[in-house]
Amino acid sequence: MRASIFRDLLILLVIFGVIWAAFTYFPIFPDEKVLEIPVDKEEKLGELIMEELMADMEETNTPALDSAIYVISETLLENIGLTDYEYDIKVVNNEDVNAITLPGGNILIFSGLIEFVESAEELSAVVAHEIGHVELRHVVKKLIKELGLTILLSVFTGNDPVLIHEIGKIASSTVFDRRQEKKADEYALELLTKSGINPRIMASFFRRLSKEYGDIHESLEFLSTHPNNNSRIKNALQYKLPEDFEEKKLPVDWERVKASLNTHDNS
Amino acid sequence: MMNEVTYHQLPQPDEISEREKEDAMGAYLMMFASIGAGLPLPIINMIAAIIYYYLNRSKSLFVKFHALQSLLSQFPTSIMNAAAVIWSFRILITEMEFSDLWKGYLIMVVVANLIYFIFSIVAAVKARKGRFYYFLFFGKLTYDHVYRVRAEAEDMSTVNQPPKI
Repeated sequence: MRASIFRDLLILLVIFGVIWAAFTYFPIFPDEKVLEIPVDKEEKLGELIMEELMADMEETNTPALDSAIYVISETLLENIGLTDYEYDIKVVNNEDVNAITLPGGNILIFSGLIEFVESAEELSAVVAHEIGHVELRHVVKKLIKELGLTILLSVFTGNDPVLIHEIGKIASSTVFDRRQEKKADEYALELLTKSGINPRIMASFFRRLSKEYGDIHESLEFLSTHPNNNSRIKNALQYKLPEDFEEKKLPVDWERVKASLNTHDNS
Repeated sequence: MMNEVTYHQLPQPDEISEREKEDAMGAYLMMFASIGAGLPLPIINMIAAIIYYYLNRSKSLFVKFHALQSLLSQFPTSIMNAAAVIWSFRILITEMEFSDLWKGYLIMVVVANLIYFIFSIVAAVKARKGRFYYFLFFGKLTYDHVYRVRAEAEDMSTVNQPPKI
């Protein structure tokens, strides 16, 4: 009798163990609603939103700034691996210290942020973070969460300008949830390391940011849902560098970039 | 089977009183009520089950069997439910990812609860008819515990002794 009881117990454990394992490895709830919006559709959506947003914004161009952005994006994109996105990184004239990620790999950096960062490496950290949001498809996930899939898909059938305006607003509000911010941070740390930029730069950037603006500041929307600035600083500092890590300096004269921005403003 | 282990004879449906049948059925049905009350932390239903068992175990072996089987079979389910609640809270508080492992566990818990519910209803119906119903593992365990003839059970009557000189 005893032996048979133990055998039954074993059977039960095996049954439930198998159920657990099976549903772990073959999840029946694919949370990939985001797959319904393939990248090419996302890029189309990005174009529509960009058109909408750029109507109110002015792009900032100076040769020094353009080449700095070019160097930064080339350095990062070279190390990002396979990607479905065609990135378009623009600087727009806006006082806020902010950067926003739009669908389809469109990243807008505000000129206020350019003024704020102290080196091209710091700006790379921010751009890497935004690339993380793109690659991890946070933008589309956010839009699906806010609007629902049906409405989002309806953009592609009818060109409803009001709807596009709304989507543009949501997309540029840059509010990601904490989990997504954390993921994007992790992505950025890895990308920076691969690109030969010391990921600790993120820590110093965040520290300066909270020193300057306190922990929460309205213009810092892209940090306000932060997993608390301190923990982000900590994560950046704790990030393990590979042993063969070799720090490279970006060939950018940051002071000149800033200076060019000021003369551009004055002109 | 070991040589010395013997079991009491099982009562047949016509030998069991209506009252016993109802008490035996109640053991299963009560769990549903108390599981509802015990959410989200399934502690209350465990306490209720234990109380029910201790109140009814002396009534008859038939009632004791069903009360104990119901009690034992809900232990693992309750613990799994509690673990699911605690795990979920941990994830929410520490902002970890809802991992596949967690999702798999949650589905397993749902399946376990469904199985528990279905088998409990079947057992309640059978008990009401004065029949036995053995759950996998728990049935045998309970039978072994309740119906095994124990050596000490042979002389239930204690004999009063004069004080030792």
